[in-house]
Amino acid sequence: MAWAAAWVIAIPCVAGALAFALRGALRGLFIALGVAGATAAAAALVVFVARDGARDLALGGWLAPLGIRLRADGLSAFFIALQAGVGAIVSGYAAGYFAGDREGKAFWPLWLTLWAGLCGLYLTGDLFNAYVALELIGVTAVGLVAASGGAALVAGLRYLIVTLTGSLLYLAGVALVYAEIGAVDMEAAAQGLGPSPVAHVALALMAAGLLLKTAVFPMHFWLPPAHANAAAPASAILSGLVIKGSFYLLVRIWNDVFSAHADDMLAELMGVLGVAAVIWGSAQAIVAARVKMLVAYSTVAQVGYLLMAFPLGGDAWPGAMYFAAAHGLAKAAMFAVAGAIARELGHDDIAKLGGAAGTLPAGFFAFALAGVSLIGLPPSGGFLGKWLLLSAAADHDHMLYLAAIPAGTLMAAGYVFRVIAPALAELRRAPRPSPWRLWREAPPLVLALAALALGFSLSPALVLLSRGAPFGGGG
Amino acid sequence: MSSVEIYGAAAALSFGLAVYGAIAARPVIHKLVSLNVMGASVFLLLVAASARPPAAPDPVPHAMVITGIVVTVAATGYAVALIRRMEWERGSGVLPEDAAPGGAASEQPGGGGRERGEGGAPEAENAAEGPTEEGRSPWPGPPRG
Amino acid sequence: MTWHALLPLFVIASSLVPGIVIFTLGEDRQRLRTALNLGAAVGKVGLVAFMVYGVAHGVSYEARLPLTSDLDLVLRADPLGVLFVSLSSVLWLLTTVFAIGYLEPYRNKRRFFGHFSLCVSATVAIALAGNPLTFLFAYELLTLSTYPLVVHRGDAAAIRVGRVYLAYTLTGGAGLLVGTVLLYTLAGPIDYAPGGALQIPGDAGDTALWLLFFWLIASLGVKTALVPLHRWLPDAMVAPTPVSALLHAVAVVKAGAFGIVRVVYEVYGIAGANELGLLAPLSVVASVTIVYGSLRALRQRDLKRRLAYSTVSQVSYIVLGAAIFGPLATLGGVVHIVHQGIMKITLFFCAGAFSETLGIHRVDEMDGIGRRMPLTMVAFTVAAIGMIGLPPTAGFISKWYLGLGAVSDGQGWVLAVLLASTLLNAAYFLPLIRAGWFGQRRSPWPRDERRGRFEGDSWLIAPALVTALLTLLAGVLAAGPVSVQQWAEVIVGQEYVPASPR
Repeated sequence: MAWAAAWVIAIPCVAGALAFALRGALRGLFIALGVAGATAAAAALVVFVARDGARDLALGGWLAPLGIRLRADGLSAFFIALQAGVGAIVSGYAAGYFAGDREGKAFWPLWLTLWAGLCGLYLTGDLFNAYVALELIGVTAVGLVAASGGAALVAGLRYLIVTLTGSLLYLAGVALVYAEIGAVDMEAAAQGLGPSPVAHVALALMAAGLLLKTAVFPMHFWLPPAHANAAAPASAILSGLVIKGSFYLLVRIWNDVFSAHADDMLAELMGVLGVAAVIWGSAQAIVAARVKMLVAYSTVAQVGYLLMAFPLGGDAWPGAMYFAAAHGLAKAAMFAVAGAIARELGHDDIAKLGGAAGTLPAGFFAFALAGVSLIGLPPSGGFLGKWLLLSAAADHDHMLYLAAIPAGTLMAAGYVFRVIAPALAELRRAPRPSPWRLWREAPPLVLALAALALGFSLSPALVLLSRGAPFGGGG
Repeated sequence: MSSVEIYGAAAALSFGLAVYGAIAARPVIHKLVSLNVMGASVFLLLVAASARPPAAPDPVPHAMVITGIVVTVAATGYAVALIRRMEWERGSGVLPEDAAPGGAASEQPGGGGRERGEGGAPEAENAAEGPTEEGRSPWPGPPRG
Repeated sequence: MTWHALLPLFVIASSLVPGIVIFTLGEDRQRLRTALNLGAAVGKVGLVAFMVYGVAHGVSYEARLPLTSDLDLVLRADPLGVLFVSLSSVLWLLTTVFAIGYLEPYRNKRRFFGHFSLCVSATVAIALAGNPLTFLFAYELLTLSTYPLVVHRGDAAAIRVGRVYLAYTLTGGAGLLVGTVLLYTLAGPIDYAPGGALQIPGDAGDTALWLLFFWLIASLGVKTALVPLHRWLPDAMVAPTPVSALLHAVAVVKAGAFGIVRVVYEVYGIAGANELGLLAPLSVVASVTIVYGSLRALRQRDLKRRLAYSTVSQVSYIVLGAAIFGPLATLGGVVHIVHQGIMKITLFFCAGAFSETLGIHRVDEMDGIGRRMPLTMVAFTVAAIGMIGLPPTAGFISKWYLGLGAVSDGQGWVLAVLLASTLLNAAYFLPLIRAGWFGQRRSPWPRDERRGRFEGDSWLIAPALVTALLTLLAGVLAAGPVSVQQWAEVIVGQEYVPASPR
């Protein structure tokens, strides 16, 4: 198991370096090998965790506090599965998208390094190493945005400032934890931290930094321009995967480090911010002018549901994780389709989408399927995630969430069908379908179908998520 | 008041000032320097907290600070490159939403600063995905001279 | 997994898989698509016939997929579900025939028939759903698969109506989601059970159950088109006629009514619902809908809109049957699930044949149509008489048992509702029949396309004749050994046996 965990990080890291250094066919080969290897290692790790339970891994035999301690439990494995699954498919999409495009030169090293950073974040058992992983993720993600130049450059620079601020707020919290107990190992911190004011300040600082990086309302201002102006594969990665990284870390420290005295006030605040995010993000998506802007604002809205787990607790935790996975798949599919629309039509202006389904039938079909999950209609992962959240809300008589979740569902239907409805319009002359291109049509379809397939596979996911009881003391 | 507390208070003070700077400053380079001060404040706190008198200081925070400095320097260099690139492309080192209305905005070719705040993507950012007039090369340096 | 578990899945797959295959076929593969459609529809009828035979002989077919330790998706063939499955599979076959003829001159057939198949799959899943969660799954799938059919014409009006349709049905769906979550929170994960799954009194406070009942009815009432949630239904008439036929007789409206029947009989149980005092308000809502729908139908000049308001009214007979305590009323309501379906689909087939053959859309253009298209007009007449509720048609059987049930439950006022509805039905159908047979044609037909050997395209006319025949048979043979009524009596027998203690 140790080798699988190490390879999950090492393979994309090495492949990223090679993608930077090499040229020509060799480069393509190593990129392909890197994606395949990283996916295989992730699959092996997930199987191990599902079978044997959570494990601590000391790399090179060094133990805490000096060694880099990795820890793989159900929550880590779940997010690594998401990363590898979405990552592999988006890589296939990107290979087609960037074929013969100079922008691809910057894409592959950044994306593979980002992959390594995310897996490192999911596996680390150390608060400080999590900071290093966060920075790696932030810097490479900014690169993915800025590489498109123009408006994306400005968006990327804004994103960089935001992500650095978030990381440093988090790091300040880590420093306070060290000042309090003299250790930054998560397990040691969980045992050593009492309900002291310093611990509360540390949690508040870390939460603030991570919420900023997760683009939680009202700290979401940076996300729509960044995600909407990046190249489509980068947008898919950023919306589908990257924001899940900081969210994961927040869930992790909330449950595993500060669990004994998680702050009820802070939890309620995050829940209310979540509701506000759902309403505000959806409203912005409903009035957005461009498909990619709409999809980006939808991310702002969907992040809101994830936050509802903090006040709800209990079953809402796996519910929110499942929702995050469904969102990752569906959102990546939507951005992939948005990219195809922009390339095929030369624009992604919603007002000019009339009859576009005739041009890109498979693309709009995938968009609609992904929309099913995003809206939270059955059968989909989004539906089951909402079901678990709603059940938790009903259990505790939380009327706010009981009302907000269906309201968000309807608003999501509103913006998804803004794209679908005009595309179904009949033109006087039937548009000629654009020829089928495997790289363009297959990845979003596969991603969207996977989001729907989650609608039938909650049971194994819950088993995986229970390994190591990541939410054991939480809520 | 122990020396650790003095250092801690100093770190908190400079951290707070730096957060203010990062939010309030208009030029991006100013924000970046503020972020560096934020980082330095945290490092100060870490090193101060490593004191375990009368024993020798804990070495672990020093390793963390070294790592942190490397990370910060790398990120700073990267940010500077991006800022130079933006100045070259847009003729301004200020993010559109920070540009003062009126005179300061007019210096920006992108016409930023008009739509502010929420949904505050300026026009240029609302443009459909497609090649920009500057070409698609990701990292050309600014022109010399 | 045994054969018994697989059969419900096969019944769904028999339309789902061909639907998916149709999506992958090119638009121009007309013959293959037609063959697939008809083959699938015939195959489904065959599978369902097998299932009916098995259920009649006491075999239980059940497929179960656990989602969590206590949350399951269940497909189960119980008598009530099988009744609905039989109706939808037979009518799907006929509607497919009709749609092939109807869509002949139009574009986008791939999209249409693909979603058409998905729509029927969702309806069958609704019928076979063994618990409220599975029902919710299928119910939302139905909304989604119907949407592309409603907007199929693709003009501005269709897109606008599609928005209205979604706004209503998705709101209803979101309500049903919350209601189902609350139901599971109050009572734990339940399966539908004859006689009621809830312990009343016992599971939860009466007030909570009372509120939840009406929350669920209101959510389901959107698709059922209960007044005042009915507005989307007449608007949805912009859809192609085969879609309207399916919407009104088999799929959407019927799914809502079927959901209400499930909630009354198999969640709360008719005895429990009666005890909680839920039935009286429900019967008032149903009665208001019956009368209001008929009144509005009277004023419609567009033939399809008149039929739509007639549906608003007629579907509520099913709800009315569920809202009166007593086996006779239940029998009337349950048989009406089938009877309303075959009668209404006949009327839509005829309306479609009129509009496609002669360009007739309005009721005042029907003068003399019976001389030009006698066979179609015969079918129309039979179905309209059924709607009015005269013997020997199916509609008479429904009204007869509803009336008997109301009297035996001491609710004489329901008779007045039935009488009013009958008179109103006569008022809006008899003029059409009179104009069709005896009216004098003064102007030429808007268009006259004699397609096929008969008075029009035989693909359009044959289905109408078959369903008209069924309307007559269901009335004449109601007391016979193999009939809808016999099957409904089995269902009624189950629902009125006190629930065995768990």
